[in-house]
Amino acid sequence: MIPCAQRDQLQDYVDRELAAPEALRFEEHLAGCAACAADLELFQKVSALAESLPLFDPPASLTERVLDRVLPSRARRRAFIRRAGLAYAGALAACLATLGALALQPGSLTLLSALGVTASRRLVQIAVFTVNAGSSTLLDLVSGWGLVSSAGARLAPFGRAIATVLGRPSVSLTLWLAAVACAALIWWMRPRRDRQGGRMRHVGVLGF
Amino acid sequence: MATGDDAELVGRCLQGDERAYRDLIARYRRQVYNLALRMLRRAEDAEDLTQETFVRMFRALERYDTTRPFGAWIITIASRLCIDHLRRRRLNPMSMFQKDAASEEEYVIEAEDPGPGPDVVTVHREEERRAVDLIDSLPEHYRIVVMLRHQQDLSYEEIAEALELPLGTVKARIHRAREILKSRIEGRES
Repeated sequence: MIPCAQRDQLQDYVDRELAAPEALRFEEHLAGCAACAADLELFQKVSALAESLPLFDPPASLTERVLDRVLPSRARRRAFIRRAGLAYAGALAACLATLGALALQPGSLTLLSALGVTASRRLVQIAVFTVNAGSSTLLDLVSGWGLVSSAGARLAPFGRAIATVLGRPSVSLTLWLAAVACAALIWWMRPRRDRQGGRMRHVGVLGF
Repeated sequence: MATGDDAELVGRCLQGDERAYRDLIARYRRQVYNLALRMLRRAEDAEDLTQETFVRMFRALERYDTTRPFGAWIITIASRLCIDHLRRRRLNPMSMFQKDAASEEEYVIEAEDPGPGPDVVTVHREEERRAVDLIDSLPEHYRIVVMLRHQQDLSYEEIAEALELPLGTVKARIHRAREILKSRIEGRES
């Protein structure tokens, strides 16, 4: 097919870049020019093709990652964490420097070891005192309310009854079997790794 | 010019409203991501570039000229990042060694990074696959103008501004890209 002299206008026409009178003239030309009409059809196919590209969604986590970097409130939090970290590191460095300076003083090692021994002895004493004070307070409270003796008196018949029942071989055997079955069930329901993908297998029962 | 919604969202972002940040990202994330995906042809790179586009956009938000369309502005940022990324890729080409049969000497072949990696997004529909293949077959400087014109719906002037090219060059590239695609479609159909 012989190239048409007006073909240069074709793409402008496709893009609607021609002024109205020019577009009208070109449409009249198209009606009588088979070459331009065939090209127009192909250009329209090209446009349709470019517009039919599939669209994909980026991962949802993208929004949070952007916000972490730009949101003023998060930036302030990051700055605070950074400042706190720097302050902590500074304090640690100052402590270590002081300790280092102390260690370099003559006789400071003896002083430090004496301090260490005293401090550990005092710590043990504090722990023993705390445990003693707590347990004696608890016992005083319980005996003051008569809880231990009354609870013992009330629970004793139940205890004897349960012991009698458990003493029967059939009951104890049943209980043992139930315990073994429960253990086996829990073992079966344990979280396991998928052999193929290393993924955790889903076990729906009881939230295991 | 920015639409009323965009201008309002920008105003709220400047006041530090988190909801507005989220809405602005939700409105343009797909456009930016798909431009990056077609240009870089690697899902991971496209994701990084989308993130960087939004970060730069938010950091420059105070300087945003509200008389310009917001969509064109963010696509401009994304396009320039795409071009920079592709330029860097070209500067770090893959090196391969080949032995010359006559001299037994090894020489280096510098090949451009081929683009799509194993994590490239899969296209299932046949006609979409064809469209992707044809667009991807275009050289980068033609591909970007086609994407901006047809997928992002930017005018010639906006494309010229985004790519910092003369209007005539943009027009010529779009026309040339269409001619290439036209001849490839013709080749397939014949």
